[in-house]
Amino acid sequence: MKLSDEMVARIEEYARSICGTDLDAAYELANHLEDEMLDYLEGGRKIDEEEAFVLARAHLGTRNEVRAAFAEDHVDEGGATRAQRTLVCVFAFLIATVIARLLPGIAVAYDIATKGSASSSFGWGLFDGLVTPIASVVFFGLLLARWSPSVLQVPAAVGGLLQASRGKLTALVALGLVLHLVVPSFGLSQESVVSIANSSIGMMLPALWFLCGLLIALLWLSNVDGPRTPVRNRLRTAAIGWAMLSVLSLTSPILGLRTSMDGAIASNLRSLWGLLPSARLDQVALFTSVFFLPYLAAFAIAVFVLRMRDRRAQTGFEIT
Amino acid sequence: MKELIGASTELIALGVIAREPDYGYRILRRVNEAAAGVFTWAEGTLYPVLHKLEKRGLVKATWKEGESGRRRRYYAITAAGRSAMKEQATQWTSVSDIVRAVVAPALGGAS
Repeated sequence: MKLSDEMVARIEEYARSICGTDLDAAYELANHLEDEMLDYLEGGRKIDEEEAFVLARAHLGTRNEVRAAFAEDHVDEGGATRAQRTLVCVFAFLIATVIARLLPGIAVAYDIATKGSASSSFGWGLFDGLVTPIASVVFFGLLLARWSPSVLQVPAAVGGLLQASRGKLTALVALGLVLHLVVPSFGLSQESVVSIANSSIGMMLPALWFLCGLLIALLWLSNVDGPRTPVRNRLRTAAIGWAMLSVLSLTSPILGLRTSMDGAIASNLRSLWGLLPSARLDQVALFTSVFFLPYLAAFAIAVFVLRMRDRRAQTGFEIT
Repeated sequence: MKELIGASTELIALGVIAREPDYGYRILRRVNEAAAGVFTWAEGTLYPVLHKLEKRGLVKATWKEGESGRRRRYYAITAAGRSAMKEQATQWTSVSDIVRAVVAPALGGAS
């Protein structure tokens, strides 16, 4: 017995809607559904294709249960996929942006050490305008691509990224370009750091840094991993894009760092703990460690969550 | 019981695949037939186990065309999978022997 071409197409469409760009998983799910339906159809019960399709789907459970069973990025020893991906993305983004932002700082340090003052000839714009936006796009790319530790699957992941971002590409590019504003940046300032503002808001830097990165990651992952319908995708993308742009435009001025001509640095709204204006460039390390602390906290929280989820995931069977 | 079955899923999957490479749906049926109602595996049990075993190199998945002309993803055990299966089976046998040796006399049966 064979199913009609129309029904096979419907099954494949359903499987793709569950598994997204993971074509192997989608094809495996479609095959499984066909087998299940044929079993119904060939059995003693008189049912038609439509009923068999409904029964087979119902037997597999909810969409999330089916996705958890068939998607190849389901829970494994390493922990939950969403949390894993969030962690990887947050750390990848952190490393890329810290490198991009610190290079100008190092250049200033070198300049001051050799010439006694900072030169204004360094290409700050290169890092602000190019490196960090690229890092941001990579960040979103990691979020969108289905997570796979296999290097051999990288081309598939890139293809998957393009496919998964269909309809979201505009938002992706816009957000990637804007996101770099949220990262602390070094810019050369003619102002005295003393004139640069208000330490109480500066104390919020690590919290904002942590929350923005994590919230953006989680929101975007929810959008990518949730049930895919065209309308829902567009609505979510628009809402998330709007929210992120709003948050970023509010927070970016706070997160800017400035380096004065004599090598002192300060946030736009004054540095932490009132260390400035006496701070020198060697306090770049202090700032970096301050920004690392929230990420270490995020790591500890995520590990805890993963372990809890692992325990729950160990009982995925039913007893009769 | 639940914990015992949970702990044995990998070994059972390896055992079924070791006897004959097969695709997911048939593996599920073979396991449930062998279980004879003691337990029932659902898809949510089987496929995550298969994918984990594949990632760890204990089984190898290949797409092949079946009798019906449809391409199916067949899972076959690897050499590493056989070693793991033997090791796990030995562990299960040891534990089972100990349980029998300790519990059977207490129940008044032969050990």
